[in-house]
Amino acid sequence: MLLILVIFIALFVILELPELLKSKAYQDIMIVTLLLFLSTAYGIAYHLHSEMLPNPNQILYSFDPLAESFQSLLQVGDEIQP
Amino acid sequence: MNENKIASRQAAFLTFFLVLGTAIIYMPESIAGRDAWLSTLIAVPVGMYILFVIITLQIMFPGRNMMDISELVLGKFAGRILNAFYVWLLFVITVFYLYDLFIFLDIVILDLKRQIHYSILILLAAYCIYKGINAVARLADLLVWLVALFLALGISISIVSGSNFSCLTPVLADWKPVMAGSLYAANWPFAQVSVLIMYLPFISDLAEKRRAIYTGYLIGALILVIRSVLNVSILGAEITKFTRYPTYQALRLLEVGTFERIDMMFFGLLFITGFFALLIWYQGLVLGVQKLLDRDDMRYLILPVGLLLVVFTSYMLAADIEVFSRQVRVLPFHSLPIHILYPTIIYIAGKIYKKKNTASRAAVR
Repeated sequence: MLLILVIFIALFVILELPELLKSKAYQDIMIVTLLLFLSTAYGIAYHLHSEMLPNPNQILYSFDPLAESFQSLLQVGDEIQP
Repeated sequence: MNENKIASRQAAFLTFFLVLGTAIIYMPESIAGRDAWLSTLIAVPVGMYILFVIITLQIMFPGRNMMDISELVLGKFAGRILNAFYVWLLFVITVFYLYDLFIFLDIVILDLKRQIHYSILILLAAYCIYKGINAVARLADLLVWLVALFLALGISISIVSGSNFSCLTPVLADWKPVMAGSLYAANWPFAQVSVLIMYLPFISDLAEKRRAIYTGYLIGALILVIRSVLNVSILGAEITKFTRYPTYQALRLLEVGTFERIDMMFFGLLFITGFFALLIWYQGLVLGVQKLLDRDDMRYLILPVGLLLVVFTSYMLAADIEVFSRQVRVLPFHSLPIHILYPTIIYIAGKIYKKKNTASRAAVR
């Protein structure tokens, strides 16, 4: 994962950063820095098997009760495929 | 043609690829067993409704992006909150598409780490997005005939050599699995045409040739119904229910004369449709982030958003067992309301806005 982070960031620095610096688009650079920081933080957390950062899955899991009642209503369940 | 403009015909091809997507491989309505084709059929109007709403809205406010329309008709604050919900949906669905495609590729490329799979797919898609919307549309234009040829070939071989249509009877013996299957099919792939929201402002002849987009959608839906019929008639209801990739499994069983294992011939077809769905969603996400953050250019967002997708797909969908037993089960309840409500709310607000505007103009006169 760390290598992938490095590759993507290097690609961005080579392909996009010079143009952004040339046009003095500092707000755009800020946005990208934020996005890259977020990716790096989660990438490192994944690499270290850490669960310190909030997992967006929690938002999906909040719909669990609804899915369960739907399944019990229509008597389906185990065979659900992706 | 302008670099940032596409024709309705090309948008129709994109819609066609979007409907087939990875759903042609996975068959989300397989829960309905032998009546899966009925589930597919019942779910078709959901996508038609979404297409109707977004196309009508786009014609009402020509040249504007749906996110701009949302802020115009609902106000800056409410519009932006609604847009954030939709960008979140774009993100989640793209993550799932990336995962689906990886799982499918894993059949033939076993020894690559999943993050490397994700990165290769994202970099491939990023390259297409860098080339522009017009290039993506032209790629669809080019590949649709190849896909159509292989689809025709696959369907013909399936009918001739492997189908047993008695597996489809009795029809509608139990309505409950059919309803459950139709919910899953409505969410994936039919409701996912909502991503066209991001593409409609780029269509040069939408008002005159919008029927082409509906046609593309309906042809895609028809192929999915045929897929459901053929999968059940080749594999039987039980195996279809419990197989991860029923279409691929069905293709593996086919024989043409002394030729066996012709599934590899169709692997490319299934990959192309899946990759296009990923590409369309990824580009939609980049456009969505650009609009949400109010930026003029999307080019510099392509790679950072791509990296975000690679990282979050690894982080969120880390274990297969959890994905298939839990996340896929809850996804329709999370996504379907956004797919339907986002355009519907803007549509209603847009109608009210137009009515008010007309009334105030008449009063001034």
